[in-house]
Amino acid sequence: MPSPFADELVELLPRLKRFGISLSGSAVEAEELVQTACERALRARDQWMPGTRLDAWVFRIMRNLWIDTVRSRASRGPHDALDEAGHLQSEDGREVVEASMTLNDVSHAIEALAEEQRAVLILTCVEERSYREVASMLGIPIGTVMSRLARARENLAHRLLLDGKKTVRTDMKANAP
Amino acid sequence: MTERRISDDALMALADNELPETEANELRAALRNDEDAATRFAMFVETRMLLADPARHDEEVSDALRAAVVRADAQYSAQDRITTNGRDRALPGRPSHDRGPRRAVGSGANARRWQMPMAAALLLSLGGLSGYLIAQQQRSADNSLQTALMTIPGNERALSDALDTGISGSETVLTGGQGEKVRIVVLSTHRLADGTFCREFEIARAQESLIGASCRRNNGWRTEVAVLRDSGKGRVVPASGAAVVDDHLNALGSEGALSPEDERAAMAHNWSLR
Repeated sequence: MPSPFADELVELLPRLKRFGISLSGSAVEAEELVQTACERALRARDQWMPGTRLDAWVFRIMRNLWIDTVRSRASRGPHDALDEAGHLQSEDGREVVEASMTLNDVSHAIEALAEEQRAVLILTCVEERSYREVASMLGIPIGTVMSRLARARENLAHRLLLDGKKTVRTDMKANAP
Repeated sequence: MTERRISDDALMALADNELPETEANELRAALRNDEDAATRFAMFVETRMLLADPARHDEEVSDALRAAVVRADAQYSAQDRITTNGRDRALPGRPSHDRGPRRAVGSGANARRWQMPMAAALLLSLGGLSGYLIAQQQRSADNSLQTALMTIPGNERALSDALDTGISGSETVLTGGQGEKVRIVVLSTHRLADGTFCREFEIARAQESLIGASCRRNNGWRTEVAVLRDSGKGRVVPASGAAVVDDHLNALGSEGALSPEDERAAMAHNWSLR
């Protein structure tokens, strides 16, 4: 019998795969990324806080894994493997503890944005409108849509601590005798 | 050799599927070895996914992936037992790590509240439609949307009468001051885990409709979520008002619409908790 935590993860798989495809551009890579991230999430399940967004937590793990893969590829040449990045990661002892995020955190972060940024953000990312549609709806040039949107997302990322400036991690080496 | 830095505009456009295929492929190829660009790109993808409606992203997932997650679950659950019994003895080949006290994963409505789509969360957080429809308010010179919102308070009694006594599918037609017809349709009835009844409804007039849900609180109906749907041209239309309302009801703990028999029984008891 899968644990309730695993059940929740399985339920999330389609969404995690979408995130993986968006990151890597490949359905095959996305499945590898999701699998490795889920293994890590299961191993570190005690560190997920119930009531916070499990999807956001696993997105963080996937995002870190993917960037590790890019780093590994950049430093070792073109042969790539997610396992390799994962291996590197377990060697240096990084764990998957991340800042927790509730739905309210996200909506409060949106609420705190300047109104012009909030409008383009909601239309693009919540409503999934194209830049052209948003420009026409708001009566502004596409370039303005893009610059407002980029600023909105940077602000959001900063407020939600997604910009890597304050990611919580534990280091196993620090605990080693 | 100096490398040209990939612009944020290009990375964001890639994350938002705004680039033509050839350009997108070239950029993806460049990203594979560029940690700085990959990090900036990931931020754009992550912010988009955090806001996206979960219902719109149902990628096919292989059976092998599902099986791998269940297998890993069994493996790490077993590891937990070993760790608990034998003071941090990890399974071979896997790093050990410090474990805090085990927290149970919650179940039911509260535990799943984080799964509520962003649109629904925004409705709650920003105090209803005003926040969600901010984009329209910003550009719309006329106040027809606000007028539509007024439909609810203006017809509060009519709505509550319809919710009290209308079976799902029933329709009440009201005539406004200038002869404008406004329809109230009761769509479904839900029972939450604590026994509270909620009813989904639609209020419609010529070009606009509002879909919402009210729950029975203190012997009255309280509208808990409402999404405006606007069929006028050039307006922002929420992707699926019904989906937002359904998701909200699910997050409150509904397990689906009641059968007509259960609905009749609840109505006969005046929607009281049982």
